[in-house]
Amino acid sequence: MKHTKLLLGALAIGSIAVACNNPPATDAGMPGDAGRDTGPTIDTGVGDSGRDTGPSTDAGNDAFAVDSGVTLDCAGYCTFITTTCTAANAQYTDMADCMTRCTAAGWTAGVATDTSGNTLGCRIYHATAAQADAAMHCPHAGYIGGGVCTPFRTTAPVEGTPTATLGAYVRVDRMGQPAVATALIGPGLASGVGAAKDAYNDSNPTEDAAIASGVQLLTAIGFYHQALDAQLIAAGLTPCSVTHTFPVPGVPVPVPACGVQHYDGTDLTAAGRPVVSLILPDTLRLDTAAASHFPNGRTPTDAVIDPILSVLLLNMSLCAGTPTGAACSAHTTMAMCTPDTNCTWTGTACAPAATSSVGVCGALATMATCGGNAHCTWTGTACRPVPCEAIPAAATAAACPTFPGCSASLCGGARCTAGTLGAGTGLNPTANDVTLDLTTFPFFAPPH
Amino acid sequence: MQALRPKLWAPLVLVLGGAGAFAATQGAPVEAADHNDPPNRVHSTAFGTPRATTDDGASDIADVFAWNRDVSGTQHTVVALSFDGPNPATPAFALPCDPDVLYQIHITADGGVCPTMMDDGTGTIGTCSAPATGHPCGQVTPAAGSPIDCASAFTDIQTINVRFAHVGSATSRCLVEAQFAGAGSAPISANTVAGPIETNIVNGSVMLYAGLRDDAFFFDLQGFHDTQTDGMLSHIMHTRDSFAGTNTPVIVIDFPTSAITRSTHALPPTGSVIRVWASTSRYRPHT
Repeated sequence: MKHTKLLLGALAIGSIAVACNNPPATDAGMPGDAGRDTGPTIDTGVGDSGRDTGPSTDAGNDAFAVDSGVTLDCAGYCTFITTTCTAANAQYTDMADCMTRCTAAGWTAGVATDTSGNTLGCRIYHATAAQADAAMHCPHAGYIGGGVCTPFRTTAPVEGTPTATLGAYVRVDRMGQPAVATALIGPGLASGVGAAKDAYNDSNPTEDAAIASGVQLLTAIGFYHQALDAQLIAAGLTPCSVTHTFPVPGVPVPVPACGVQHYDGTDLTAAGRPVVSLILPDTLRLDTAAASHFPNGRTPTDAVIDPILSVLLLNMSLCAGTPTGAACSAHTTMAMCTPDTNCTWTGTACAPAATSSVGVCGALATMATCGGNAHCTWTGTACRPVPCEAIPAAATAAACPTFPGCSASLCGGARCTAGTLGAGTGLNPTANDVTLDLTTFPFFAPPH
Repeated sequence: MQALRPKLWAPLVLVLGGAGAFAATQGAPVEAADHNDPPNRVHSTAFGTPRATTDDGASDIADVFAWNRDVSGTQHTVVALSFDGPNPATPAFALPCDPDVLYQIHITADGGVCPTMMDDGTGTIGTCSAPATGHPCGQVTPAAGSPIDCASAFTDIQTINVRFAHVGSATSRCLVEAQFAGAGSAPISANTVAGPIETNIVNGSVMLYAGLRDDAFFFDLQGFHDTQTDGMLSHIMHTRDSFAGTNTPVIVIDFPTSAITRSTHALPPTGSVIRVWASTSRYRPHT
């Protein structure tokens, strides 16, 4: 009888093969539940066609076609699949492996006509079908079920709203840049932080620049400056301006000067795109053709908080010791203008000082004359002021204040060196507490 | 590179302190990166305290990472998503194997603030017009049909869907599945890689890992909280990492960068720059 049923099953395999056409492809094929370390590498190996949503369409096959006569228990299943799915299509290393995993899994028995679902019957059904097309059906019969006898939820991975008849995935959280959602959504809003965060998390980055999120981000930057600028100045730092605003294509409201400072996509101090594009839309921006460290993408070893704070709070044009007239015009009050020795307060506005460092060094047209001024450095094409942070710390007390744009507290690498902050030497810890190996998957260190 | 003296950067902590103080007035905690945020949904009580039973820790994104690496001469992209952290080493914490949470890593072409180039739906590329009222990212007029908002067409070129499931009825054993579902080239013929958690899972050129690891985020949360309390800036310390010794579940996916170039349209729109973000959604049954 058993052989008869197997034969009948084989006769029907053709129809099964046609119908069983859209499951996913993988089966670990190895015991699971390894330790928390990196553990063994598992080669899922088995491929199949792409997966659609929802349950398998492998239905409609009559019962006789799959009644292989295999008993609905681990012994029956393992005996069958280890003889049906072999070599490249093997789902288990051997009978013992299958028995161990089947027993541990505790699959619901189901019935031998199950065409989908995480049951033993479904696996036996597809093991039967595998007699005609092992490459397609063995994964379905295996441990993970190949997307057909799958333990994973098969609801379409599309967000929506549950209806009276259908469930749906409902958004909970989203994230791109670190700290943006946390620090820049909510402050200054009468509606409250919680409601603002919920609305933000329910939206998508495509909406960030255009609607409330973008306005909130810019509002929050202004909120922080209002609270902090005086203290930043007192600490010898020069805030960027939030009162001077500029239009930016695609953003419906003018962007504060802080937001139109430039970076080049990989370096927060280099000229290029406006800083606002770092956070709007709220995504990690990654140039796949360049070395990746924040702000070009983000690795687990990158310091991220200090650089973000720096570019949103400080006048970055001063960081490289290259003051410009534009930098002076961004200082809208005497309190902001005065600390910048490259600028002078005219009574109504902040203008470049007549003897600004650019003026001093910029007037030295040759490398020889430039080199003769200890306050200046030859860039290869022009003479520019020595960046404060490049002045040796040992010379700080005496020499630093004599340099244009520098004061004792700003020399020795302490002004607004975003590059330095990016390397993790800022306000917050410089590195993770454990060493990470970014050359070895999975990169993150084992748990404590 | 010389380290910065903390006192010079002390004002910066007010950025966080200010956020915290403001948040406190709203009755919601604020934390760094994205741990325990949004508070209404994933952690309604103070940081460092157990979540309320109504909080959705499994859906709480902590950090998102994306970077490049070379694998034997082939360009690979790594994306990682940590969630439900941080957790102290003791008591033991296990990855929440929640089959009802959908973790999505979205990869789009770079469009700057707004997309500057887009597919007009006919296989060709149009240029977005200047922003206008009601169309803040501008519009593009396809060869046929009505103008399209650029923002609405700024869609993913690759989406990686990650889900967890228990093995059969054995709730102590957990599987993870990552499915490449975008319009970009499939990195593997199967589109999907799956296997047990806490294990390196390999399918062709794709590697997947999901499990508990060290929380890689570093930040002086203690100083942050102390500053919130009394407004003194001297609390902040660059030598103190409040996330040291903590763990968090993490999903790591390593795949050929070729998987994030479009194959079904005449794209990518511009060069080699992509944008990466992540989302979580929870399955809600029908009403």
